[in-house]
Amino acid sequence: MNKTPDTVYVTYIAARPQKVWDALTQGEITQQYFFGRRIESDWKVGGRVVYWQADGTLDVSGEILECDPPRKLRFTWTVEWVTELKSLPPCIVTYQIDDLGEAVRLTVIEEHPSFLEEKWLEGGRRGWPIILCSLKSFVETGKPLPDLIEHGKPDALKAS
Amino acid sequence: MSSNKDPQTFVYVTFINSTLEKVWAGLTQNEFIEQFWGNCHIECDWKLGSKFQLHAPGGLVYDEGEVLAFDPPHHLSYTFKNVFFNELKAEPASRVDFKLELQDGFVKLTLVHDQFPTSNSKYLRAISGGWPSILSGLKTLLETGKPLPFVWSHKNNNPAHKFG
Repeated sequence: MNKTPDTVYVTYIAARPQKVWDALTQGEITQQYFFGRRIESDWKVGGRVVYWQADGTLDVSGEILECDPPRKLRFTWTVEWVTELKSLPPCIVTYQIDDLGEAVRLTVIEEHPSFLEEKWLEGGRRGWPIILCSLKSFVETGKPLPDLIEHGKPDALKAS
Repeated sequence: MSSNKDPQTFVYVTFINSTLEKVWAGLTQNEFIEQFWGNCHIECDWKLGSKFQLHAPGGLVYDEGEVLAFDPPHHLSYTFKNVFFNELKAEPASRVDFKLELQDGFVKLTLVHDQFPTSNSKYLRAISGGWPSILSGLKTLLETGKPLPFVWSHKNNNPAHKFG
C-alpha cells in the first residue's frame, strides 16, 4: 500500500523564532489558540508529548523524535480517542521554523507512514489552517482568533 | 495546503480576524495590495471579462489575466498567466479563485489556483511558494495595520517566492 501524501501548511509570521517556538511548546499559550488544547512535554528526544483537551481529557499523545529549539520539533501523533487509528503506525508531525530576519516561515507537515483513507485526512486539512492562523494572530496581536474553543471542537482534528 | 486530491490544484485556506468587506478590499484595492504583495499592484477595472495585470515596481508586468468572477464580498476569480519570467511564460493561463466566508466572527478565505496545463508545471511550483507568503501578509496587514516584513528577497527564502 502506498504512503498517503503529506499534508503541509506554510505560514509567515512577523516574529522572532523563539516567540513562535514558545507558542508551539508552552501549554499556557497553546490552550489559547489550539481549540483549548494544552501541550506538555519534557522536550527530550524519546520523551512523551501530550495535548490535553480543555476539559482535562487526553487528546493526543506521542514521542519526541527531534527537538531543536527554536527551529524544529518532530514527534509522533496518536489521537487517543480514535480507536480505528491506533492499530496503524502513528502519524508524524513536524513543526519547522525558518528565520527570515524580521519574520519566520512556519511549516507544519503531517506525515502518514502508511496509506490512510481520505476521511482521516480531512480533519488535519481542515484543522491545521485554523490552528496556525490562530497561532499567527496570537503571536502578532496578542489575541487568537475568537471563539475557537466553542466552534472548533474535536471534529476539526479528527484525522490528525 | 499542498496535500490535495488533485496534485495539479493548489489550495490555501487562511482565517483572518476581520470583516468580509475589509478582506475583499485587501484583495482588490491597491492601497492594500501594495503592502502585502511584494510591492506589486493590480491594474484592472474589475468588470467581468476585463484584463487583469499584476505590475511589479518599475512598471514591469509579471502576470496577466481576465476577470472571471467579481461578486463582492464573496467571490473573486481571474485567469492568471505569467508574462515575464522565461521559465514560466510559456505556460498557458491558469485560474485563481477566491472565496470569502464569514465564520464565527472572522473570515475564512479560500484560494483555489488550478487549471495548470501540464503534469510538471513550473508555474504551479512557483505560485505554491508565493501564495502562502502573500496571504500571510494580507492577514498581518488586516489584523495589525502593518505589513508583514518583506520576506521574498531574503537569502534563506525559496527563490520560487519571488513569483506571484
